[in-house]
Parts: sequence; structure tokens; C-alpha cells
Amino acid sequence: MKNLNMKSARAAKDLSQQQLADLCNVSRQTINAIEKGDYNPTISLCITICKALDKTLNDLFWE
Amino acid sequence: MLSSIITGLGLLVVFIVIFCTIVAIRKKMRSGITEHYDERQIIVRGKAFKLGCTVTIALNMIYGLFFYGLTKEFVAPQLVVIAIAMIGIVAYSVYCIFKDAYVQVGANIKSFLIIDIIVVLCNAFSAFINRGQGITYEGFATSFSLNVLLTITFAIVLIALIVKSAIDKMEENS
Repeated sequence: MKNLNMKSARAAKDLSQQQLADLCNVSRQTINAIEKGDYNPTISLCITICKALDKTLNDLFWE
Repeated sequence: MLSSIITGLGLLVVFIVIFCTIVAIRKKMRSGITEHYDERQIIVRGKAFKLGCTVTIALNMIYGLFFYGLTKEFVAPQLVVIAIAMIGIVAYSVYCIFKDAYVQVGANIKSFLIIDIIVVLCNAFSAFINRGQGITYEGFATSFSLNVLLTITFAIVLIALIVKSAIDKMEENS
């Protein structure tokens, strides 16, 4: 299932996928896969993404 | 036959020395930079390893069960086994490339392309020099056949890298 919350949070901060990937120390394709719903990140990566986007886990990864 | 083995070994040693020198120089120049595979890439590489092993084992079993007796007079079994190992390596590499798990986070794909091109050219040149040896000699693979195998293997990986780079560029532009 696509993660539209994460995509919109990234867009709100005016970050590209590559920029978010650099902040989270992962590859751009990993960020792309998470947003498309092709990959479920570990909790530690979820927390890293939340910190980078100034959001909570509920905001980005809870339906 | 001994001279061809010595020639092959000599070329292999030269290749290893050049490769190690390049790696050492790169390491010294990039001592502060940390490249790594992220969690998704590690999972993909695990699946790719499974795929490569499965392909290698399956092909070896098929060859051993059905084709060894039929072909041992024409093709050296040593060459077939090495070729099957190369096929496994190609399966692993191509899967990693198209699942974005070949290049580490923070690494530049251009360096992989350059190294691959060098390997293909060196092996192609070596194969051209040894072209008079034929594919097998007294039941053993010749350096010509090994060089051809390596050239084909790394050429396939190179083509996969180029295609993936082009796909990535198209996606970024769109």
C-alpha cells in the first residue's frame, strides 16, 4: 500500500527523494520503495524518517 | 600446455596486482567516506545470493545428470563447471543491479562502470592474444576459453549497469 502520508510530508518540507535519502543514510530507491509501498522499513528506519520530516510514527506509518 | 597455463597465470597475476593497486589507492583517497548497503539492499542481496546459488546448483545437477556423458568428448567438464559458476555470478549481479542493490549508498556507479570496462577489455585482449589455443586442450580449459568466459560475464554485467543507469535517469527526469 502506498505511503502517501510520507510523500506529502516530504513534499511539505520541499525535499526530493534523494535529499531525504541522504538525511536518512539510505539509498534513493529505498525511499521510493517505501513511498510506493513496495518495502516495509524497520522501526529504526521509520524513526529516522520521522525525525527527518519532523513527524511522529503515527503521522507517517499508521493507517 | 604448460606455457599456456603459465601465460594464463601470468595474466591473472598482472590483473590482480593492477586491481589491488587501484583498490588501495581508492581506499586511501576516500578514507573519510563511509559507503554501505542499507537495510533494503541487504535483504535484496540475500535474495540475489539465494538465486545465484540455486541457478548454479540446478545447472550443475542438470549437466551432471544428463549432459556430462554426451559432451565430455567435445567440451572440457572443467570449462562447463566454470561456465556454470559464471552464470550464477551473472544471475546474482543482474538481480542486484535491477533491484538497486548493486551500488552502495553514497557510491558512484561510474566507478563500477569504469572497472567493468577495464576488466572486459583486458580479458578480451587476452582472449585475442590466445585465440590460437582453442576452447579445450587435452581435457582442460585453455586460457583462451577462460578469458572468453570472463569477457562475456563482465560484459553482461556492464550492459545491465548501463541499462539500469539509463532507466534511473529517465525516472529522475520524469
